[in-house]
Amino acid sequence: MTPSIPSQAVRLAPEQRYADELERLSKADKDTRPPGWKLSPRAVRGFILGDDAIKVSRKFYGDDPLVDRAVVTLMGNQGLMLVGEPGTAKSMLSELLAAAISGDSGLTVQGTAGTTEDHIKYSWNYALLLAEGPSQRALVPSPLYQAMRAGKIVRFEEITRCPPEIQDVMISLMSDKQLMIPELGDDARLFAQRGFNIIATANLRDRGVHEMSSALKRRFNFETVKPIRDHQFEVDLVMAQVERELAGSQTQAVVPRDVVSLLVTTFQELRAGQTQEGTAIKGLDAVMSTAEAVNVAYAAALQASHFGNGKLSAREIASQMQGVILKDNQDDAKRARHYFDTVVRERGKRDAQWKEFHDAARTSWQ
Amino acid sequence: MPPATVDSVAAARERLFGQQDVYFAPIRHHSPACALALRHMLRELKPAAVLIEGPDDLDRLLPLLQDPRTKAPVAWLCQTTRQIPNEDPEADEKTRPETRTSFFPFCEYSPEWIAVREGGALGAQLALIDLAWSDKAWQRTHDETPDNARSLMEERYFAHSRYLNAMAKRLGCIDHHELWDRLFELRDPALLADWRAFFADVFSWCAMARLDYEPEVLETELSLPRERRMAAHIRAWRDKVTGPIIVVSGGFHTPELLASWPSAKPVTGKNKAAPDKSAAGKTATAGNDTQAWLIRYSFDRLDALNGYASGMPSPAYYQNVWDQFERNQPDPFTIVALDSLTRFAQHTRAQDLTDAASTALVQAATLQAMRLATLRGNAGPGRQDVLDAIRSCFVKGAIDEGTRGLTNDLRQFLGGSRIGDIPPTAGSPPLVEDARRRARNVGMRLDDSTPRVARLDLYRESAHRERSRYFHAMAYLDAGLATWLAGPDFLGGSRLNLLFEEWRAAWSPIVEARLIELAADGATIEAVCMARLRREEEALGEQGKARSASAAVMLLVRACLIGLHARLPQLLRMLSAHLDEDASFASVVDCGHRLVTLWRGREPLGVQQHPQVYELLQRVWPAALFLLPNLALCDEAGETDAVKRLLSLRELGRLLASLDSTHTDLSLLHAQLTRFASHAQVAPAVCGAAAAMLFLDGVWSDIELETIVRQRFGPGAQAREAVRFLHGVMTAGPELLLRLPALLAGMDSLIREWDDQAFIAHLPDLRQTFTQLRPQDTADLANRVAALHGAGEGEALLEMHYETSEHDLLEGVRLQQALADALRKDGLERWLSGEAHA
Repeated sequence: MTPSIPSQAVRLAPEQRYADELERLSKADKDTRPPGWKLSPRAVRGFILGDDAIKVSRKFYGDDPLVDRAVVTLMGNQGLMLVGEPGTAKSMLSELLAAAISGDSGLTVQGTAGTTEDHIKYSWNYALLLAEGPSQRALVPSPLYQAMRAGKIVRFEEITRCPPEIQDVMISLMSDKQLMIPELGDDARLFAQRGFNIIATANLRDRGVHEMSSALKRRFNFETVKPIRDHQFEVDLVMAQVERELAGSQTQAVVPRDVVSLLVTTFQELRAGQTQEGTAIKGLDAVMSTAEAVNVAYAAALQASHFGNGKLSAREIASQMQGVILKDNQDDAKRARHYFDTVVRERGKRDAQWKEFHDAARTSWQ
Repeated sequence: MPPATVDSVAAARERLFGQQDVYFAPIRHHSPACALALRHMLRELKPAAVLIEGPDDLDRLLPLLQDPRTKAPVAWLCQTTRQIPNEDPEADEKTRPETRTSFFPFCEYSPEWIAVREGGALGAQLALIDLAWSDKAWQRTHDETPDNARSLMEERYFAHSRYLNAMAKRLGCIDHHELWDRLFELRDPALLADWRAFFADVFSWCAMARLDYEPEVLETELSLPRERRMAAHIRAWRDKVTGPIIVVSGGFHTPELLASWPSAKPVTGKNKAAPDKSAAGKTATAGNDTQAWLIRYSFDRLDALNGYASGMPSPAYYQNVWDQFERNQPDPFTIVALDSLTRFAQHTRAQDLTDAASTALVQAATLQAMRLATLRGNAGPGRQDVLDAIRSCFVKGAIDEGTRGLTNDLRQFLGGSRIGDIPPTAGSPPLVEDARRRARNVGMRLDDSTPRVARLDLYRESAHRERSRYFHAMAYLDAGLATWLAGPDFLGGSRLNLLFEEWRAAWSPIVEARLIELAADGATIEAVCMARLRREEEALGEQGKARSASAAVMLLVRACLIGLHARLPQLLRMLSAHLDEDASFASVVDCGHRLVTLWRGREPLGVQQHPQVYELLQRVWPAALFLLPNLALCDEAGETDAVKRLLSLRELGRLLASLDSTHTDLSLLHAQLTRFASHAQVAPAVCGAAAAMLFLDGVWSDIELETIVRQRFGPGAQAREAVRFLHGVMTAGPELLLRLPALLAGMDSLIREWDDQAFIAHLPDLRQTFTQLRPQDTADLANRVAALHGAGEGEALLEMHYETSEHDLLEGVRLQQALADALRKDGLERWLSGEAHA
């Protein structure tokens, strides 16, 4: 498979996108690097949390000690398990860690209900297998296989979506750090090279996920990634992301800060089940993550640019929010409507922005 | 950071040590690193005097700290009481006492402790130089709750400093605690021998923290006045002694002290607020009553106190660090981390928690902590690194509500529960000693403040009864020793069938503090309880219950519960007198019920040997009957209560008869009830209840009851009175309406007479009356009423319009609307309003 041409790709891998930062970090890095690591732990930390001295941007926000713990975990024998609500940038964090430690975030097993043991260990090129019999040439290595061989980090996305018996393949792999290949002879085995480790991401509460066995849990250190609570900060983040995406799609649209602030307020309130004033409201089951807020803002900005006057307003936000809230849960629609009828309406009496939001929501939601 | 500030701080650092032979030790309270550096400093300088930031009226407590029998953690407890104007205008007293309490805690690794102990051992003179506590206590008028205990070592400045917060953020620290740990605590102990470098750094840190404060703020929150006082003391001491002087104060104050002491006006004998003359442990200033004691303290209290005053958290952890320092261990932090992780894992296993940690996990966590320390550039794994390691390795799952138990356990574990000790000469008030003696006698542990649950067998074990009384007494005094969890409630008269009592109890410093507050009332627990009981007796008089038998019997039960049996004869005499004088029927009946409770619980309550209780029981019945006729005179509003009391009396009669049938003559009650039932002037509800009770007790037959019912419901009866009568009957015996056809018929004929208006007028009362019935009875009654009116059973009641759906209804409304529109179109609106007829 040929790698796609980076400049045309929808999304670049972090080691491509931040190639220059990694370069600078590597140059400035004086600390000892654990075997198999491209950077020292402190430089990895710097890559993720930013380092002003050598112009490395901050990429993960909110919980610095978590990054410390994650980096240190990857130096040990335990794997790293990132859990938390959907949309809290678990996958992004795992990519960044893999990119900084191994220079390669592409060794990824994407866990689904249909993942089989072959996807995790290895499979065969059947034409070659038939022609030559089992040989190293006929073996098709999985990302995990490659990572063990090269001493890199492998990422296992959504591990809880795999059936338990498939998850359990990982148990002995992680404690032995070797992979048996009986087809290639009696003592054919692959020893993991130093620098190998696993970052898994998991969702513990979504529908359609499986329990993890405690044997597997024991082989991981768990880190819980939490949604961002700070309002100002989330607004900054959404603004920055939306502007970057708009620039990427070469769309001209004005994104006023107060409109984004309104969006973030709404998201935070519906996420936490509590208004800014502290009144308890019914929270939504739907995922109200920062990533979703970016999606809504981006879509609304596109709408404003192509169908409106080019300036993002609460009107577009209201109509785009439907798509986030109305997923599968009918109750969510009711709760959201209640929120618009009470909280938003009340604010609309004092604030033109909220009034516009309320009016637009009323027409598009009833 | 403006460069000028940086320069001035650097210049000040130069003057920190040795200017006129005065050396400053800027410290953070309860910091092992500061303590160790201070020890090096003391040993090197061999000072002539050590001046410590502490209330200068507490100098006399210093020798106690030096006593070898004093074991940390201990604290100075300061209490002051003053009279303030009473806000309640109706109270007789013009003033009421207000008490403020503060703690000044020490643990083994407190720099102040080191200063006192080591300084004393080196032959230095010791002195406290802060504002007298009694002066300070009342100046915080804006403070939340008056009786709030607080720490005298507040360090909230650090938590709020913008500079420190920015620095913490920059270094990736969670808060200023972690920042402090990283910069100061986690230094190689060998480096602390260079105390000059260490204290200079602490000085810079504190100077930066101080930058955020305006002079006005510092003035109002007393920092500046305190610093003036301290500077004056330093000046005075400098003039008095030759040789090095070491000043140990919170680092926040050092910059100001350093700048102002050389020019300060020295404290003289005259303006020294509290002379040390009164050695008896009492320092009285005008209007105030101030006392201070050295008391035992505990780690968990220290942790909690630091919680809001932001001292160093987790005392047990830092104690461990200090122990390693003392042993001169080469790598103290790793040893402490390993030890903490191992013991915490053992703790989780001992608790049999679902997420108990295995040895493999401890190993992984230790490695994790050490690597985190390396990553963060610490000399060894610090407290935050250990916390992070536990979080990474011990928790297998998401951090959420479910892991809160573990987090709490961890906090408690790192906090610890050690309690210190004080020498007997410390002169803790005799009350505290008495409480400790009794606690020991009932088998409580005095050296551990972890609450334990005790299950006491009240009936079979006399030792348990003893303990129960002790707990009750301490609970009565609100001493914070024991919390009642379950068991018979003799005061409320409920759950008397329970044989066991459960308490959660622990001896803690707060108990001692509370007892010290109570010390004014007496020297023993018994005396204090007695004093309180006596006050309650007197209060009865003030509340207008001077002759209330019910309130008196409450006191009696209370006295039994807390073991004040010596007081019983007197209480019994009082009760006996009250019973004769009490004019309130309700109170006497209540008293009777409580006496029955007391009698039933005579064994656990220890009143078997008091024949008076039994005598009182026999007297209650005639006393109640004597007051009974008054019930007849109650007005309409008091009727419901009167009926309730009547029923309560009947219940009491039954109880008494079951205890002693010879002296309880129920026929007396029945005679009085018959009078109630047959007199026309008696309140109708009382009359109804009396009639129902007579019938239920088998004194009256159907015929007699029917007669009276006919009288009440017969033609010409007043509707209002009849309803009240019915209410009385129904309250006493709700089932009678179903059992007696005559009653139902009477009611039916009565209601049939009424027009709509009368019916609506009485409907609320009727409704209330019928709430006595159970749902099943209500259905039964409805059927019978239907039958009375000729409908078959169940038939009449089913005339509900189930067939009309919401849709039909809406359809009807729509038709109505259409019709109205049509009429309007034809100009016939008037038809709609009904004016067409006119």
